[in-house]
Amino acid sequence: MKKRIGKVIGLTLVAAMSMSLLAGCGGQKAPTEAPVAGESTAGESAPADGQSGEKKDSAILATSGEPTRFYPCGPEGSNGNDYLVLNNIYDTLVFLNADGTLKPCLATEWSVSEDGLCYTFKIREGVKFHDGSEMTPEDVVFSFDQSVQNSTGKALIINYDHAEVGEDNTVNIYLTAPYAAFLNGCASRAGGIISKAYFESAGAEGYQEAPIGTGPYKFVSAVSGDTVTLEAFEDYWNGPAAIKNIYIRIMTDATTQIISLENGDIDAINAPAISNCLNLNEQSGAVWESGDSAGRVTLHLSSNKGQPAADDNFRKAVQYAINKEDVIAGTTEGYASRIDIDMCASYSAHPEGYKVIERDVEKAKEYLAASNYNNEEFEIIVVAGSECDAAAQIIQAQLMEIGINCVINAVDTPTFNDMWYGGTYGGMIRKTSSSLLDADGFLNFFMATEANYAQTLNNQHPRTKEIYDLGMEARKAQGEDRKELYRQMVDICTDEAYEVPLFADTATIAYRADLQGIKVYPLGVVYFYDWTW
Amino acid sequence: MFKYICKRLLQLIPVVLGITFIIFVVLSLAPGDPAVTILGPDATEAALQAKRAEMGLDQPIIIQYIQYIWNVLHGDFGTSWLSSYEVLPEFLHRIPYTILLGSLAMSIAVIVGIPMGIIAAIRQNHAIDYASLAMALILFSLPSFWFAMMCQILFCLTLNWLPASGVGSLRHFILPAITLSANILASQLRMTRTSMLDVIKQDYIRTARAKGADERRVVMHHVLRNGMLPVVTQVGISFASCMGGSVITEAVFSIPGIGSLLINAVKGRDIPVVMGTLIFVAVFVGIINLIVDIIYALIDPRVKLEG
Amino acid sequence: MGKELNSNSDNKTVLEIKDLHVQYNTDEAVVHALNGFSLELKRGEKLGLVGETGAGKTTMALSVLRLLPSKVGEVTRGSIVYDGIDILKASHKEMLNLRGHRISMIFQDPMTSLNPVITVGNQILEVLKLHFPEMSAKEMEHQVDEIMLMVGIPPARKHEYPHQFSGGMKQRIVIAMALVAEPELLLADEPTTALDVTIQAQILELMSRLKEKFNSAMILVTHDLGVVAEFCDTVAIVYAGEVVELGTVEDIYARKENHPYTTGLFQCIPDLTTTVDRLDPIPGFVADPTDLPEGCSFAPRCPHCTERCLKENPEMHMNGSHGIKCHLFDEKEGK
Repeated sequence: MKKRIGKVIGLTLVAAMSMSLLAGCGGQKAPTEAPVAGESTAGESAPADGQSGEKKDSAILATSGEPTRFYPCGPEGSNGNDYLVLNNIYDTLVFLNADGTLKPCLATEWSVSEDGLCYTFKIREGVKFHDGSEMTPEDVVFSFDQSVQNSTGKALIINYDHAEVGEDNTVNIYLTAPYAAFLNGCASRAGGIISKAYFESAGAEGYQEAPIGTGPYKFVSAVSGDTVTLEAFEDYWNGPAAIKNIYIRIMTDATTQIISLENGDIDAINAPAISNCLNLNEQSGAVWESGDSAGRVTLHLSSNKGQPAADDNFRKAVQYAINKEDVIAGTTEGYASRIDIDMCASYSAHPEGYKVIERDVEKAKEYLAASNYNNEEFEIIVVAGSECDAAAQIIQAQLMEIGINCVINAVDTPTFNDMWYGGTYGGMIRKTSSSLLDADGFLNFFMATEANYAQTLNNQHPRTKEIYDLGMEARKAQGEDRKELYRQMVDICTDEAYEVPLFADTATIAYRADLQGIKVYPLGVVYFYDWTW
Repeated sequence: MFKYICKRLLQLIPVVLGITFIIFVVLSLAPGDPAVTILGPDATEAALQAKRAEMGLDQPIIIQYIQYIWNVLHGDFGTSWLSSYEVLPEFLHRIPYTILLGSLAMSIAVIVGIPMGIIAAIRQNHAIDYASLAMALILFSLPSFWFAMMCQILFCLTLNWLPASGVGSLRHFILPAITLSANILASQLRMTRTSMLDVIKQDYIRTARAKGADERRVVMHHVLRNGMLPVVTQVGISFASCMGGSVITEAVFSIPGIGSLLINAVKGRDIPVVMGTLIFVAVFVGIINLIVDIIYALIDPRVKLEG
Repeated sequence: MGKELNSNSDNKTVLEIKDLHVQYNTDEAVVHALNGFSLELKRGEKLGLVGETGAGKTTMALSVLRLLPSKVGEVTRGSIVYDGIDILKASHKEMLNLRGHRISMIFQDPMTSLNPVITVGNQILEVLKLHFPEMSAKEMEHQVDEIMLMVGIPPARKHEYPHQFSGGMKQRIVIAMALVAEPELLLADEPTTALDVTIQAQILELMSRLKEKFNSAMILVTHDLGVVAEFCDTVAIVYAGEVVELGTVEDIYARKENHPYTTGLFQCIPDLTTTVDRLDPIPGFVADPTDLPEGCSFAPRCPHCTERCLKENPEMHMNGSHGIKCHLFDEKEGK
């Protein structure tokens, strides 16, 4: 008796557990609690599969990196993943086109003072924030002041001093020193214009939870690990967007992304790997595009004491031994383009007439013989599973060919950063992007001690200071002068073989063929405003 | 009974403390600086140091741990270092998905695996027995991500019956549940079969036959009741391990459950999220084990709960 | 193949086993468990079946109920007839009816004979439910209570589980289960071997009483000659799957004439009154059922073995109620 009741209870418990959860979670998309302070807003996730194609008022984009920061001026700044949301809900003063030219956005026109220290922007009138309030020049000033407080802002809005409201609906931004690519910074994710009034009422936390900007899309909700939902802003100053609902779906698995795209469950994939793009089945209605990206993959050599690459001849040997074409073919199926300096061709002030090293195995062996290399382990670190990892495998073979005992250490990102910042590696292969699309990005690896730049404190090459000083000049210079300065900088780097630049990455996007308006931007940003069915 | 339950729940505390302490120490000692991860590559050393001080990372590990536990006792599970959401609400938001996935997978495994195990035992050495064992072997050996992908290709792409990812409706959980259940089904089947075969050999089954019970009654009334005892325990344990986060399944099918939460947090050294998740998982597993023990005591008259 | 017993005509023969050959077909070898086993049992008779372990006693009991392990056990020759029913040819349904109802079995080890997760009351009740479905629940309960009282267990304990009882009480429950349907034939396979001696006496006495009450025939399988002497009417000595000596207790225990094996058995019993340096076992080892010798199975160990014994298997020679299967008693045939 007792046993039978017990058994019934036991089975009922198990059944009840399953059923109640089925009932509770099944029909409903997410728990329907009212958002409490500090909670990420719960909301609807994407509509059921198969409908996105027919319903022309929505589109679904899959991405593997989850956007988590919707307020660009928070203390942690923002990163590349957050672009998807930031670039669509915030407008900037100027807009960076796919070809690198600038066009007016929230600023209708602009001018620079003679000495390059003051930029004057004429602010567009009649622009509304998502909450209906009007955007004013005060908001612009406020945005810049806030943005430079975190490291992203400092890195992108270079040489910022302060901003003021000028007469006749203008804003003057003052720099501490001229900076040729300042406008690129204004067009970046650090240049999004936020609402001062809203910030004052909601605070930074409130802004992160329910952000408002002037961009073509409003933030609706973010379900962590699942979907970020955006909705077209009706009162957008340039007319409402064609597609009303945008769903950014987080999908970490590449195969699932492909299958979902071919299936029609999703409409686009953000930054798919080239090999996956090539495997797309065209008949399923999925197509893809690629273009220049702002990222480049480079092998950095450590001249720290005790490392093989501290020896000049060793570095030269490596420089001459590498066959970049093979690396490109093996890593990116031939879609990337070779680079000889650590910059992408699309960067402004890209120098000309710089030195180029062609592969020469004999010379490499000579350099190696001339060096003090005694068959020690030359350790190259990479982030496991990335394309740098693949490149490293190929380079390892090439180096071993000339007699260098090369080992690859593929680690996860935090470990990689630790080793990089600590300077405890022989070489490292990293993909670096310049969010400014400017030659200044080259300087990242040559910041002198006075800059207190964490990355380079333990990684200074003997001639870092020289390059750094030239770089500071280059920030202030304009036009051809600027290019010349960068040419000098890259030539020092090439002479000393501090780096072996490998290739410039390609930005990709895969999408359903009937989705129009897709453009590939070098920074890999996606502007949903362009899209129509 | 009540006393027993209280005692067991109290016993969970040292277990949870032990687990969390070990993990805390391991993660703290592992390479990787959270300040760098948070502030990004452009940070100055000064900013990094300020951040580390703010996060308390410069203090000895044991102090940091005690501070963490102190906060937890006040209900503050902290904020994610990587994504600035609060840990507790995030966890509560995600766990229903994992529970649902786990429950569905267990249901499939139990509904299919156990009856098949019973039939295989009754018809030992017949075709159905061999077929069941073969199926169990295959399901157990399949790597789950491969199986998941094959299911996706077949059911989503080719046949277009089911969605490949996401959690929009109950249909979205069918493939993930099947994938997750494969392993469990195989072990349930074998376990049930073994247990049943064991019982069938027992003397009291011979007694039952000697009493004139027909085979059906012998199996249903005598064999099953005894054969199911170890199976019940195993079901509970399997369910508990499902909760540990069906990481691969969640990754492939993009289900925002705690499996993917945990793995991303560990990869990024996001200690608050890892710790918060672990505490809940440990408690959850502890409670499931407790329930299993109670159920076992209810169905087996020989078992007495102490205390 | 022995001559029929001279039987009293008013005692009906309840069970007749003729020349039964049973083997177990295992993976390693064929085990010849019963080799020409023959037996007769009358209504109300108490037969003691004596032999060493492995002699085939349990096999015989299982064969009567047709409970041999299905794949492995095989009856190759012979017949079993119970009250006119040919056991080996009976339908499955007929067997189900016989088991627990008209023929009951008590197994050797009470510790493992009861289902641990069902109450003892329900296990006894099950017999009634199986065989008397038309009985009302109340009547069944009453029967169960009665039989429990009869075996000496308070009916109030019928909601308890086997593990809550001692070994002796468990065996009583087993007996209750076996007798609640008032069977005509009770097969008791070493019911007291697993119990200690004091309990043994109680159990045997109980069984006797109940047997009297229901007038069941009983085959008491045992290896204990003392028990047989106390409780049985007739005795059959079994060696290597055959009955080698048969008769009343007086016949066998008179010790005037016995099969050499029986003699050996009696000699094994130590005498409490004298001191000896060594016990007196039967020389040699028990016959290997996978490799039985040609001729008499006991021949290799028999002190009186002749050439003929090694080649020819002897027949059962009857002397009144006393039968001995040995060449030595050839000339004593007839009266």
